[in-house]
Amino acid sequence: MADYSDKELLELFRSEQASYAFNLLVRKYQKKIYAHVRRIVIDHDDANDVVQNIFIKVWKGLVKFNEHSELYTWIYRISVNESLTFLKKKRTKFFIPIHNIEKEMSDKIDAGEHFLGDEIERKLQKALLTLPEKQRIVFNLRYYDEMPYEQMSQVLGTSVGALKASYHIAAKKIEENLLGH
Amino acid sequence: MEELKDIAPHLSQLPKKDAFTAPEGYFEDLPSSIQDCVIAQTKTRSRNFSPVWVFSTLGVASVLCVLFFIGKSPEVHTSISEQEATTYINENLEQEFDETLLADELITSDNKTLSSEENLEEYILNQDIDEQLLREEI
Repeated sequence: MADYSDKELLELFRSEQASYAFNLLVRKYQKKIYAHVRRIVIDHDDANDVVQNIFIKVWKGLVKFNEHSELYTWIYRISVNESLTFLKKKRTKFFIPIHNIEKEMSDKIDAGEHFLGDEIERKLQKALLTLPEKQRIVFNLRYYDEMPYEQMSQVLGTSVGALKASYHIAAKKIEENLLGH
Repeated sequence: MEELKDIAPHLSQLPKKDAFTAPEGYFEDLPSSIQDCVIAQTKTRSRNFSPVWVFSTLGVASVLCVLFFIGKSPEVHTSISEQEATTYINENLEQEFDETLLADELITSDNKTLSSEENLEEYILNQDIDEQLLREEI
C-alpha cells in the first residue's frame, strides 16, 4: 500500500474513489487511534467500539471537512471527544452515577488481557488512572504520542501554556506515585 | 524526553513502550469492519431520507388510513319516503292492526276500574274530555 499524505487522501476522497480513500485513511490511522483510545478506556472491547464510532464520524464529517485544521489533528480531536463521551456514559447508567470506573479499569490492567507490560508498566498505567481524565489525556498525548504542544492545543482547544502546566503536574504526580510517596 | 528529566527523573528513565496490545489479526479486519458499518449506516440513512421513499410511504399510509376509516364508519341510516312507509304498513301491519282491540286495551290498561257507567263518567270528568265532542264521536 502506497503511503498517501493526508492531502492526497482528501483529494482521493473528493474524487470518485471515496470508499477507497477512506479505507486507506483507516489503515493509515487505525493503530495510532486504537492505541490512543485504548490508553483512555483500557479495555480492548470498549476501545474497539470507540474506534469504530470515531471512524464512522470521520466518514460522515469528511465531506464537510474544510481543511482549516490538519486531518491528523481533526481525527485526534474526534478521538478525544468520543473517548470522553464513552467514559461519561459508562460513569452514569440509567441516570444513576456508577462510582469508580477507574477501579474497574485498574482491575482490567491487573487481569492482563491484551496487556504485555511488565510490573513497572502496570504500575505506570495504574498511576495514570489516578489522574483527572483530561490531565491523563494530556499526559498520554505528550508522553506516548509525542505530540507537539501546538498540535495538542488544536486537538484539545486549550492554550499551550495550560497544556504545559497540566503535563508538568501530571508528570509530577506520576513520579510520586511510582516512587511510592 | 528532555522536559521530563527535571520534573520526573525516575519516569524519564523508564523505557517507553506501549503495553496494550490488540488481538491477533485485529488491524487486518478493522478497516473492512468499519467499512461495513459505514455502508450499513449509509443504506439505512438513504432509505430513511430518500424523498421517493418518504412520499411513497406517505401515499401508502394515506390510502390505508382512508380504507381503515371507511371500514370502521357506522352504518348510514337513510330516510325513507312517505310512500315507502305507507306501502310497508299496508303490507305488514294492516292485517294485524285492530282499532277496537286497541281502544279496549287503552281503556282497560289505563284504569282497570272503568267497568261501570258511573266510573266511566267520573273518568271522563277527571280527564277533562269535551263531552259534546265525545258524543259526536260515538
